[in-house]
Amino acid sequence: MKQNGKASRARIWFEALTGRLIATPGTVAAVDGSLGNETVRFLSVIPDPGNRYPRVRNGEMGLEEAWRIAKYVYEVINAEEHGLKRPIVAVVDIPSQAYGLREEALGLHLACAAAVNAYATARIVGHPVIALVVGRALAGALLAHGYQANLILALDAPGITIHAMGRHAAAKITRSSISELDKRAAEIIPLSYDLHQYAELGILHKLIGHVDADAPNRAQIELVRQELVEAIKDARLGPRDLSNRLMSPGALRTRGSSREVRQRLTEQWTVHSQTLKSVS
Amino acid sequence: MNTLNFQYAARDPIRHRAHVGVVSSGDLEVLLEPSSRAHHALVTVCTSVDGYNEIWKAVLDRFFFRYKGAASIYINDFGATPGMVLFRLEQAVTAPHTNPEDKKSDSTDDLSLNSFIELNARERARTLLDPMTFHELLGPFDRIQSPWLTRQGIVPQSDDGVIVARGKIDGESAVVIAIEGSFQGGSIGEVSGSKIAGALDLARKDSERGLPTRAVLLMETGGVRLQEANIGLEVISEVHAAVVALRQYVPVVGVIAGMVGCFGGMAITASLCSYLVMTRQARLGMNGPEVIEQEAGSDELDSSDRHLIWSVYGGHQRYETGFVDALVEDDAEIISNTVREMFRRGLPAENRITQVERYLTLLDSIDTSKPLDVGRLLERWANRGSE
Repeated sequence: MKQNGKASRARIWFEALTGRLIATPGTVAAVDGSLGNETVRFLSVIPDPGNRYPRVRNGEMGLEEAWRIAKYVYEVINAEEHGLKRPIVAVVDIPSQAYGLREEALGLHLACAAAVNAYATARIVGHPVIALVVGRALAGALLAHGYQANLILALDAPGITIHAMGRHAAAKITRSSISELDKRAAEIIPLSYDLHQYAELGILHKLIGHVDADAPNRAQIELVRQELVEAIKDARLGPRDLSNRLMSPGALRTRGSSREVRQRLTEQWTVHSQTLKSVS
Repeated sequence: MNTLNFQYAARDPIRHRAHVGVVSSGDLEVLLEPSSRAHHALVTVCTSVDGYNEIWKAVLDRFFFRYKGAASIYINDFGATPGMVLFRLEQAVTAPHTNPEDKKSDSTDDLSLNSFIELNARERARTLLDPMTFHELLGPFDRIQSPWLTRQGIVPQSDDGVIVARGKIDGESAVVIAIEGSFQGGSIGEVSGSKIAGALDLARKDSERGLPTRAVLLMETGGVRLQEANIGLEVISEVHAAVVALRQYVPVVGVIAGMVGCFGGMAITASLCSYLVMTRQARLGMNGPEVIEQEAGSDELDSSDRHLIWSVYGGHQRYETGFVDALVEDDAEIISNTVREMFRRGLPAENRITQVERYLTLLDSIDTSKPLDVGRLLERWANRGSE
């Protein structure tokens, strides 16, 4: 399926990693593939230019997309399995959530919450959840598909953007030109559209270099699969909440305020609890 | 943005701390506490308006002509008039009961027929907690402000627009987290978001240890603060993770009272709550009408069509279509009682966000070749709860 003459990264990588072609129409691809010695559920949102919900035709996170993601994640959680919990890999290339009247009226916020809840629940009960960013990871769509993962990996390649808001939308809303926006972003790390500056925030577990994101060869696909195997291992050893993102070397450098808030809040909370105890 | 410092001779020692006002258009916040230097009053002003140094001096000269307290005063100003500045200063020096950490200041005011919407975030939090139990954490005097706003020339607020208050609800341990919608539209930045996620995580840890701490989220927010974009989105994901984790142990009750409403990533937070309460004056949605018009054009949505907007986002519609659990009047006592009622229900047996098949079936039945008829939508969902 071509988008602006280019095949969708979500499709390219979903097919590359699972070894299966996505034949059926529809926007959410879910396949159990093998990775290392185990079965892993791969999930992605794929553009469907003929979709009956017009606002999702470029691969946006719409109503059916978010609910289906929730469905396929709950399937993994509810499956009766013995041994290790089945990992989930979210392959992320998603331009935004769907912007539409129909979407709002039918509760896109609830649908996205369903996807968030599914991924977060899977993580909490012990399924390693890994997000692999192969293209765009933007705004509310990233919250619903990627940000609840234990660990987030990204290809270090052109065309990878992780941001709270698309560049053009941000320029319009702040009434700035793209060049003004980029100038501000160069000075203020959390505004940056540059992947390496984003990585400074310490949210990413790993950047995977030396990969052609649009046309990966067999060795590159194998490299990424190996990185996913390692990440699944790391996720199993790590915490089941998102605290690792605040402990990373990047976070130590750039997220002093996040850390200070949590530390001082904990101190004051503890003191208050002790005061209550001594009173009662 | 401009920072000014002033010093005045003082005579009277002062003992109280006071915090008044909000950093919103035409207003300011004043933090007053005993000065570190005897016989001196020290004033620091952080203002959004440049070039008014002389006027600030004249206003403060006039104030300190009569006031002789050895106070340390810190002001975050968002374009207030001299009259407003003097009013807030008077409030700060004469109103020791506004000290946010002073429990005795708990008003025993008659709450009946008091608008909840007209209360600021701190007052709202106080209203929901049992009398005499309000205790604010990371309050204004801790002065953990946004490190990113000042670097972009924007005046910060001393609590970054989020109030975290511990106390009791119906005698049970509780934390109320209230977003101040009039500071930067209630937007979520690094500090404000970390306060929310951090407080929820602490409630969860207590709950895991057998000390259940129920949580209330008062949401007035447009979502991510654009000036802190990527950290803002990240901390919202931390809030989501914290709500999902806490909700296993105790109910998390969300309230959207208005007038800002609740949008973007925080609309997801609202839907993750065990129970959600709205007023008719509040709105809830993923993308606000202006954003949709900008991204998809006015053919998709005309953001000036007020009737349409309220028929999609408004509290009444959200209640009728089953997206919220209670629709309440804008009344402090009613809202407080409704929140208590939600906690009495305990953990919900079933939650909207896990009813995947129900919603997929509903979406399947929508004819997307025709414009959506919002009125018919209500009929379709009238029998909510039953398939």
